[in-house]
Amino acid sequence: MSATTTSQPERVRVRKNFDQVAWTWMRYSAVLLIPLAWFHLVLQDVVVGVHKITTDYAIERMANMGWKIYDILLLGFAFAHGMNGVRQVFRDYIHNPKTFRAVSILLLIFWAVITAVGAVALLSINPAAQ
Amino acid sequence: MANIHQFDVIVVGGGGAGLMAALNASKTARTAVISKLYPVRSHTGAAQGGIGAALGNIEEDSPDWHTFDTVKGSDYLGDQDAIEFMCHEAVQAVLDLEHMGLPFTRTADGRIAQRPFGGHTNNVTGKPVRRSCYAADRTGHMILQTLYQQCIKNNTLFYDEFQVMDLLLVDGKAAGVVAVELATGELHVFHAKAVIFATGGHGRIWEITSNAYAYTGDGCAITARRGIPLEDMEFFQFHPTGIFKLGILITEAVRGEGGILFNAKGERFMEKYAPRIKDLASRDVISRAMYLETRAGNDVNGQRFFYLDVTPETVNKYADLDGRTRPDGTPYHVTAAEIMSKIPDIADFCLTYLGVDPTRQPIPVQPTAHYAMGGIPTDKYGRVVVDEKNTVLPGLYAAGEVACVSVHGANRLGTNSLVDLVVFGKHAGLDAAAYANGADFTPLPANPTELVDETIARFQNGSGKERVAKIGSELRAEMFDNVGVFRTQESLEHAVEKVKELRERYLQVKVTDSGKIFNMEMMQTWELGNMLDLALVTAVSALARTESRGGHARDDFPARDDVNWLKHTLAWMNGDQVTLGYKPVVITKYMPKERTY
Amino acid sequence: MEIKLRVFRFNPEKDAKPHFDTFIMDVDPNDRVLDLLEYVKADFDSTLALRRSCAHGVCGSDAMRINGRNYLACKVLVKNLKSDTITVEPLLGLRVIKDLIVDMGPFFENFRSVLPYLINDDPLPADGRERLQSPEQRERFEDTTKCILCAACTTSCPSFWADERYVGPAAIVNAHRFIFDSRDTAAAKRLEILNQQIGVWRCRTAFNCTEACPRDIHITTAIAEVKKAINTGKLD
Repeated sequence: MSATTTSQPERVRVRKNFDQVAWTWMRYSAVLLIPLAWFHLVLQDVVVGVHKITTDYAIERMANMGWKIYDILLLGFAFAHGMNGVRQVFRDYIHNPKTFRAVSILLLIFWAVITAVGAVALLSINPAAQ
Repeated sequence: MANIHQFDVIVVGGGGAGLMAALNASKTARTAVISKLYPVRSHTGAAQGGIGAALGNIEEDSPDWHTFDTVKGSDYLGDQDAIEFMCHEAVQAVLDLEHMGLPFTRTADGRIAQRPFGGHTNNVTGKPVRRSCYAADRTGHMILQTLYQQCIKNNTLFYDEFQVMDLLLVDGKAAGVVAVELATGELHVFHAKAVIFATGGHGRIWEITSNAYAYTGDGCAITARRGIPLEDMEFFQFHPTGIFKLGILITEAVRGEGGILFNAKGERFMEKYAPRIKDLASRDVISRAMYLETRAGNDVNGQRFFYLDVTPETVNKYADLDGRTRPDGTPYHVTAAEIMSKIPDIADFCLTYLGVDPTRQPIPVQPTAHYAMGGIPTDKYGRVVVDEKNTVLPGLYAAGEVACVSVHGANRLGTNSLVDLVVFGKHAGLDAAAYANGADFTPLPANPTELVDETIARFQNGSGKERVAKIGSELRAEMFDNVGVFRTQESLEHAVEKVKELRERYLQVKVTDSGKIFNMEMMQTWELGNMLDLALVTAVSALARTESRGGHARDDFPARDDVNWLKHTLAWMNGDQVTLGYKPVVITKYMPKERTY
Repeated sequence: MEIKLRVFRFNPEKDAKPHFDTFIMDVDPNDRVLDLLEYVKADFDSTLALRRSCAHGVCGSDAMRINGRNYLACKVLVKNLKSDTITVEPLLGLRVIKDLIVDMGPFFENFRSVLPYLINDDPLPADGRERLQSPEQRERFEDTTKCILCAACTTSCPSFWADERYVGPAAIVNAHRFIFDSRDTAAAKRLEILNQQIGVWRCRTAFNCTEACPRDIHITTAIAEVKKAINTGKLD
């Protein structure tokens, strides 16, 4: 005998919301940042060795286009995580929606500028020219 | 000048009966609820064990059996037409609650779960029947929440934290109420065609009580002051299982799930007093048994308490002795986990207040003042009736514990308070709305706030020689000692004199808080006045009734006396004078018999 | 035992600023903090204003801050505080009206905003009986039916302190109670309401609510379940 007359739908569709996307992004990006950070740590401090990291080593590595792109993407990604966190902190303090929107845009610009500066700096490293 | 509001129907009180009345009245009439508490704070929420209805979900049952059990439980003082009406309506009422979303505990086949409760029996075998529909041990909480949720859905208008202080009657008809808004201290006049009182009981006049601080009998006192009698006030239920000293209720469901009462000698003493259903006898019977055990020196440590044991070992042992089985015929054996799932809140209270885990240790319990069978006399539509001939006062209604229909007579059966408030709350709401739609507003009196203004002025200008807290504690002690489970002529005469003395002294109190915003001292001073009025009516009514019946047990008149006392008491207050009258009990099918369990 | 009871006092008709009154009293270790406040009213200062009703933890009137944490004053015993100084303050995050009484208006507004009632316009069972629900389906939302709307959780939440437009834990708990009820049909609507910037995403999983709840509801878990339901659309 069936003990139910379930009225509840099995699945519901909920319209996406920016805060939902931002919240979810924070979780997934945080999870991804863990192996990225560990990879970085293990590579530099164990595989390469912390005493071997010199300006020469850094310049040599940055000659590789693959590493350049990797580092630019890592910068953009980790920094976006951070800026989104800052944005969520501001949520608690800025109650005026217009002000909040303006601040969010400023954070976005800040993120874009810093990432761009970083990218330019990385790309401009050219050991052959020295 | 006070603020004036106009509504077709005003409901005073936001508990189960009030919300039920509001939901039903507001279907056809402009309705507002005035409540001194936020509605979800009401004492309905403290009800634990269940709501009785002969759904027959687990075993055979019938509303007629429920009717007979209620009549018998009332010690034949309940009006049988009203009881029959209530028990038949109960089934639909419970289904209505389920349809509103109440999360009842479920049976394996998905139906509302039911369990045994004191005094509810199979009328053929005389054995306990599973009639109490429950949601763990928080049935009242679920009812209150569900009704409040429905009010939100329905956009019911609430005046929260408004204390109604007076009823306006003009030309023998209800005209409205006067209330103080606690947040501002402003007076508001609510002009209405119909007024429904659903303000609950007055258990706070006793020292040990399961009742909330808010249970100060405001509704009864307000109407009594306006010349409306109070019915059967000598009948007040002492629940046998309150937590020792604190009075917090331990639901009868604990015994329904197999808990056993023991005296200091380790005897299951209810075997002596109710050989057939033992620990599931009705409340008055067990409270009296505890008193008799105490007198025989069998209470624990000479401190007037007993043990309620719901540990699995004890439950299983006595279930075997009683031959108790589950619905499928297997022996009734429980585990600690099962007990916890049936009475989680009780377990929480025991741990919090006593440091006792009820699945491992027995719970110390004693009788606690619990429920007013008496109150404002009404008919089964909630209409207030004002004399021996049941003359209706147009536009005035009462429902729930504040009312006396009378369906509980001399003793209420467990689960019937929730049945009462749902059934009569609904019908009071429907009838009040129908009445309001066919009636005009009665004009307000010239100075509607006169009595309230006078009262407030008296509190502010009192001599201050007496203190509210002192009078209150003396009142509660006097009532518990002398108008408690057992009474005698001597104890009752003492109580009448003492209450009169306290009433004299009450005239000397002064409210020291001169502010208007949340002047809680003012409110509590006023509430004490209500309690003093009801204490006097209770003691005087009890002194006159020279018999023992249900919740009214006289040491000097131990037998029920149907020849002289098969009748309802009506008590009118006039200052310090209480005038008594009597009206017959409605008997339809069930002739009074000796009451044994 | 002797207790030093410090009580937050504010009379809007007299005081420019709140202050604390200190009462030294001899109490039983088994006394509830509510009993202590009643002793103050009876023996020291009858003007003390607070809300209370049932006095055993089921009506939700007397939530307040006791030694820095939210409790029901009637559900915490002196001995359990393990301190001979007891400080009692009104709930945080709601406007103090007088002494220990706060304005509950915003709290109940938030509660009302999540459609806290059963919505089901399907026809009732043909036999007029109850809608069937298995014990497992009933168990799914058992925890959140226990809420007594005392506000201890919401007023312990830092996100609510920061912005009282956040619906707060209590409202989410009451939405949860219906979202996961097999008899209800409006989960999508409630999830939509909670999927806003004042909704569940304000929860920073501080767990203060769970710690404060006098009914031992696993509030943070309930909020997480609502977040998950929004993200997956699944109601299991």
